[in-house]
Amino acid sequence: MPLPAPVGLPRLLPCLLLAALPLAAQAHHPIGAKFNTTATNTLEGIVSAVDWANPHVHVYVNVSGADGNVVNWALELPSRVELESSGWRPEALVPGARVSASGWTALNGTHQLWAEALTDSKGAKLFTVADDAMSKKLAGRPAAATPRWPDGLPRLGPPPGETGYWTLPSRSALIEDGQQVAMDAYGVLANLADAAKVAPLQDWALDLYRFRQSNTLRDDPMFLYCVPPAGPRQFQQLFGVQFVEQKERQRIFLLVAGGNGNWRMIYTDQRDQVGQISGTDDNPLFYGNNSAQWEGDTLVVESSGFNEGFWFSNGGLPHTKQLKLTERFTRTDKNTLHYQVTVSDPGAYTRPWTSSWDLQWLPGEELPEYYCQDNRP
Amino acid sequence: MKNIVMKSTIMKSIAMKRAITTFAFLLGLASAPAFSQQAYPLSGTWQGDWGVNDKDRNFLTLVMDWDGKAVSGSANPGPDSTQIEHMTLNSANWTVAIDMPLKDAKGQTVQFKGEGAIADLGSQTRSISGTWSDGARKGTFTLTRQSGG
Repeated sequence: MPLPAPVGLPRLLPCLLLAALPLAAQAHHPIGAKFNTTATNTLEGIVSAVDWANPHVHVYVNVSGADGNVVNWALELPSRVELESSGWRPEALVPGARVSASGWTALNGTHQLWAEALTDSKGAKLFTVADDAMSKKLAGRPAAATPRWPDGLPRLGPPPGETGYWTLPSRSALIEDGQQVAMDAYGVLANLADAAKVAPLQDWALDLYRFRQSNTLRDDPMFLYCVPPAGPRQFQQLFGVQFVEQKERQRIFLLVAGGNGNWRMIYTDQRDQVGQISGTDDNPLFYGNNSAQWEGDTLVVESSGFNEGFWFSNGGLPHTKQLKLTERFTRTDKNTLHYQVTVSDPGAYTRPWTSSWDLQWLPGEELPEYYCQDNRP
Repeated sequence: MKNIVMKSTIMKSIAMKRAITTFAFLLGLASAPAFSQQAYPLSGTWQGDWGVNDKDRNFLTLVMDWDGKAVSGSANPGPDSTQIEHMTLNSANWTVAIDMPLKDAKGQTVQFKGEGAIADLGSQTRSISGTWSDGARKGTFTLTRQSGG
């Protein structure tokens, strides 16, 4: 695929005409919303700036064409969170350095490239992400008891004097418990034929799920419009969630670091949500109408009144405004939060069903500053 | 004089009713984004037109909902509103079939039997285009889903 003019020049080496890269494309579904993942291009140039920020790091490169014109390209890379977890710092690349990159150009024809590979002048790979970097960091921690409040109930947030948050979900998308379905970190199925196993979908919902999957999830409103990763999707984000328990006000704030950096409020005294957050049929919400109570050491949250403006799971499982969720949170020890959700949506599913997974406590950190709206350029 | 006053009062009453109806309709449209549908492909408010040729077109608004088993809804909310009698979605190929009475621009009722296909399924502003017939009368229709949330 030739690069957009005026950059389709020898230096850019529009090579590797790999007409279809289904596996690579599936591995980067959010990328497919912005970049053409069906063909790979290569370019070479001089670094003009490094923008070390979430949600995606950018390296700006001046690329010279055969006609002498210089075009500044933006090379997009994974998030600062992912790169730093893999041991990278921005000093690894400075303005003036020569680099080459291969990846996918922007669908809108602007001078942007998702850099699948970035190498320096000596051929050394830069800013590679190790998928298991975070899990290695958390492995081998000593076991510790569940921290508790003076009233004996578990603390879902950090103990006094400590920091930390929940991340590294053991499941990246909703799958009915008991089903074995392979998918990647974004919920893209390894085998589309497994779609019917994921959940008891109605026919139309199964066909829509297959459509979204085969379309590399490029219509995901979280990536297109930065809408909240609401519902169970809150607990599928690599960038974490945090519980802020306000005992004196009988409410819990759930802070979400992925997506658009949002929050959800959960009352623990069964009072109604009122006003603009009433969460009724006439006022459906991203985070719905929540009511929580403790059953032993488990916080049980019932919610309804959702709108349909978001995907409630990575991978694109549909839901309707008839969605009702029952979520159960159990901090089984200091480092583990067990999450279980029962989905009831007669608009999209043939029966209620349950999915569950664990999240890991990342100590010594606060939720990263991550706003999808800030995806420069 | 009394007749003139009564006629004036009646006219004011009609005008008031029209204003209320128009306000209610606009209020309904204004609140539509709050019910924005990402899921069931037909749910939401759709706007477009239908007619027998390119010059003879009639404005069309459809408001549709999905209860998990069937599609319900109405056409052209307001004084000339009609109910959708039958609407089906074939998700195997994303085609639709619709059956409903409609009033054309001359006020004549047409039993609109349409068949169409959804385009740009993944977009909030997806569209439907197709053909319709009522006995010997036939033509085309187009609809585009209203965006929001």
